[in-house]
Amino acid sequence: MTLCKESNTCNIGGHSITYYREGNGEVILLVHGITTYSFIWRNIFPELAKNYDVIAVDLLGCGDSDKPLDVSYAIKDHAERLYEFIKKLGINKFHFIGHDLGGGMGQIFAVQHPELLYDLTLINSVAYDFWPVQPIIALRAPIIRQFLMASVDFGTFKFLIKRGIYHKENVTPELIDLFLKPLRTSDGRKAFLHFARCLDNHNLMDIEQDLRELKMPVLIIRGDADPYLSRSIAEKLNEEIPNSKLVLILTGSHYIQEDEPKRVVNSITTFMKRQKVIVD
Amino acid sequence: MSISELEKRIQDLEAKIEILEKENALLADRREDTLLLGIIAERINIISDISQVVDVGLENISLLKDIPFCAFCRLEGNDLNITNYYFSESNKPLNTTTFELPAQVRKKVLSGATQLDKDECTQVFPSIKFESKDFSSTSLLLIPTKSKLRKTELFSFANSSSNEKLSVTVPLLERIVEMISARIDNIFLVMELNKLNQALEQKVLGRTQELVNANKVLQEKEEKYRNLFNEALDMIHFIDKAGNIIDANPAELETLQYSRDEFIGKPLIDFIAPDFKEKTKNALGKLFSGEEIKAYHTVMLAKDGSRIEVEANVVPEMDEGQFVQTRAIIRNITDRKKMEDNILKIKKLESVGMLAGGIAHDFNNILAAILGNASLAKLNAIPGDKFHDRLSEIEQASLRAKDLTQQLLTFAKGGEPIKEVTSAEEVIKDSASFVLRGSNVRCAFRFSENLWAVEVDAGQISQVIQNLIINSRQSMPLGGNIEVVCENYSYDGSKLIPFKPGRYIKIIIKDHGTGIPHNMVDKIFDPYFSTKQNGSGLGLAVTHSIVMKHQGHIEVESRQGIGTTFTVFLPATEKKVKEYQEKSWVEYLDGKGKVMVMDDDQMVRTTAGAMLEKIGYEVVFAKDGKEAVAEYIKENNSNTPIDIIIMDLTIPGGMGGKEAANEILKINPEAKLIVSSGYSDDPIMANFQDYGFCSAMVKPYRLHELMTIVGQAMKESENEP
Repeated sequence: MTLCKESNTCNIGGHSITYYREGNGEVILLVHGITTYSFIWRNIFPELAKNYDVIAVDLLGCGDSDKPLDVSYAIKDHAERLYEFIKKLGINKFHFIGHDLGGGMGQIFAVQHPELLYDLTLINSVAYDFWPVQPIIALRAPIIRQFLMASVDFGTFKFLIKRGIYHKENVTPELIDLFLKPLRTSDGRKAFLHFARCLDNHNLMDIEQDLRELKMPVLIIRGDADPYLSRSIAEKLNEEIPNSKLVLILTGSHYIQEDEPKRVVNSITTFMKRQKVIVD
Repeated sequence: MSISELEKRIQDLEAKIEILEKENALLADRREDTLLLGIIAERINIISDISQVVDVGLENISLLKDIPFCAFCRLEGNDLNITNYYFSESNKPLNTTTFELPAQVRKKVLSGATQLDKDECTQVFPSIKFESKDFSSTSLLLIPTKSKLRKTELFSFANSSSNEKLSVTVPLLERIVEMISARIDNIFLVMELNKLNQALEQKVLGRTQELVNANKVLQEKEEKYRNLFNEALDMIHFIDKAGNIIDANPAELETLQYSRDEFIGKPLIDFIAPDFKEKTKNALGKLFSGEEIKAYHTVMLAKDGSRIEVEANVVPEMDEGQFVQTRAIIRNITDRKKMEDNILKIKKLESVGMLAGGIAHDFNNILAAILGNASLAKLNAIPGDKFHDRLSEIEQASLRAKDLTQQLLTFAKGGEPIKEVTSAEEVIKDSASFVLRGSNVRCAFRFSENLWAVEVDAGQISQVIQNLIINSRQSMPLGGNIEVVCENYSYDGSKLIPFKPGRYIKIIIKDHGTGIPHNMVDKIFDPYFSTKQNGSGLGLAVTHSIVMKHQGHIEVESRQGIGTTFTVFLPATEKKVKEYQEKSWVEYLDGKGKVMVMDDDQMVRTTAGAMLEKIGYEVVFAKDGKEAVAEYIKENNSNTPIDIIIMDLTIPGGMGGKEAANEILKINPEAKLIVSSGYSDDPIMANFQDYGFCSAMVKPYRLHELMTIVGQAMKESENEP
């Protein structure tokens, strides 16, 4: 499955990053989180590409991008690479849309390079220290253990995905296959675990104060049935970011792009249009 | 409860909680271990490649037990060769895969799981170098596989943290190694089994190929014999114990005119002629008891009832003394038999011919006397008188006897025709009437007016007509009319008729008999071909031969049930038929001159002498050529030399006419010599001029014939200077 006709690659720090780009207009950057890759945008990408210049990226270690193990996959490092990526593509301003860890990267990006963003959209995003990342050695921490198990046992992985989707009937073998694709190779599994090990909530706790001072409009979308990330994260973000708006979708779970792609697209486009009017 | 008591209580509870938490942690560990075992077991059981099994085991151990470097090695001497490994911190390959195992470590390792501390560890893996990263292990666990099937293999687990962390996993890793090892053995055995299977399969394939080849050779052989069977000109068949036909080749089916279904499976005896059934049954009996039969003669019956004479070589095919079937190769000898019969017939005919020839010669001489004397006697009788008539009858009878001997002689020697200008009408009427005398068949003659004369051997043409009429008569057993038409025919060469353009007379003999079967019309002129049960097969052959010798042509047209028409063409001649008028005989009875009669037969000499004297000639005799020559010389010197000599051609034991003529012509080339013989078909008779004769005269002869021929010769003699 590809998002559009062809994939592109871009060399960042000696590693190849794969991305998809289509459409005209203002640039939108779609950033996925852990356990997924660009495919998660397949129901969103074409809709947005009707009015925007949409880019969906595979983070380093994910999808079809390179999977080095001697490079940090911490979200601040991913955010840094995204900056280099945007620069390399010659983009001066864009809409940042991040899901899960991608949302964490968006927060870092917004704090560090506010001038580059029109706005920020966080979809079932991590934030603060609410996401239960323990030191790597503490393998008994549930989420890490689940990642580990997921990397060695597809049954566990399937369970993990299924839990993250509200409309269980959407969990087809084809969808599971898409999720599993990177884990089919030893390199993919190593990169996946490397990503998990690199998670460090200090990255986001460090910018807690900066978020309170964020000027740009921020849209917070939450699939409210998410079993992994609690509603309090979204509520706190909404509370603390001055120009933010929270959209709760009760019939969505962690992978809300699979549950309610139309509503996600609607929320995003409405939000962006309104911002545009305000900006103009 | 005092505060201190409460505090104590709280301490107790905290201690209990701590214990419970530890137990809980242990339980969680155990659960995780069980899970790992389960996952590995599940994974490796669906993989049938040893290397992949090892890889899956190493990766899962590394991931779930957080051991960065896990490897699978072969122990060869003191060398530890890493064949598979999993390193969680790099994707790059290992730089070196061979490490030396110190002797004391080696010894320990072979006896069971061995954990090495940091110092020992660095002896084994001083530094594990990957392309982009070095890994310095601080703790190393080596667990040997206990496979009895394979060389010593080791699982190595290394981390760079505490020894303790690795040591708690030993029991679990031992179990995992055992499990993986068992799976490897299993796969190894299956592989060995597969190899054996393959070898076996190869053998089976080889053997199958051999069989296929052998089968092919057999098939080729079979085909070869099948072809022989199918293409043989001789008939071939196989008979089973019950005497039924198992198989027969196309030649046999074709010869006997049966289809396979009509023939195969039927008793052989059904196809044997009734008169040979008994003999064939006996032969089959012999065969069933194992006796071979060679050149066995029998007669089979074709579907149309025709008898097929066969000669067979029959072999009984036995299996362990038991009769299985007979194999018979049968030759159709029907034609050969017929040929043999024909040869026999020819030989018979030849001997009859020789006999006939011999008799005819003497008989001719006798006839000459009878005919001559009858002719002479008639001179003394008054025409119209009974006495005269009787003599005429004697003359006629003698002439018929002459014809008969003539036929006998022709038949015996086939000879050349002695042609004379003849009226065909007379010959035809005489011959036809003669043949039909006393039968219920009549001839309806139709002769053109002014029919051209023919120059033919009347005797032979008579035979032609007789043969054709006989055939017609036989084809009309209930009687009826045979139309005999004779007319002039001018052939301009425009039609496809195989004879020269010119004038012919055309004789049509048309009957209303049974006709000749269509397929036999072409054969009727072949010698020894006959449609009649007792036919000699010679009649039409002789007829054809005679017509050909006369430069004529014969055609046949026949329709079964309607009748047969023979058409004979004979070349016409301009010459006039010599008329013999009995009345004018007397006019010639004024012969003058001297005639010598040379014949070994006293009777002939006397009769001829009497006739010649009656005509008026002076007659001298000679018994043979020698005497004739001597007499001729003697007379030649006298005043009355011999004018004409009538010479017999054949003088048994003495000089014949031919040699005598030679001698005499040497003396007098102008000598008038007449050759006389009963063998009308002798080449000398036919071509008498070539031998110096001026005429030929067939014995026996009547007075008027003698008179005419001698008179003619005498006239020529007088005209010459």
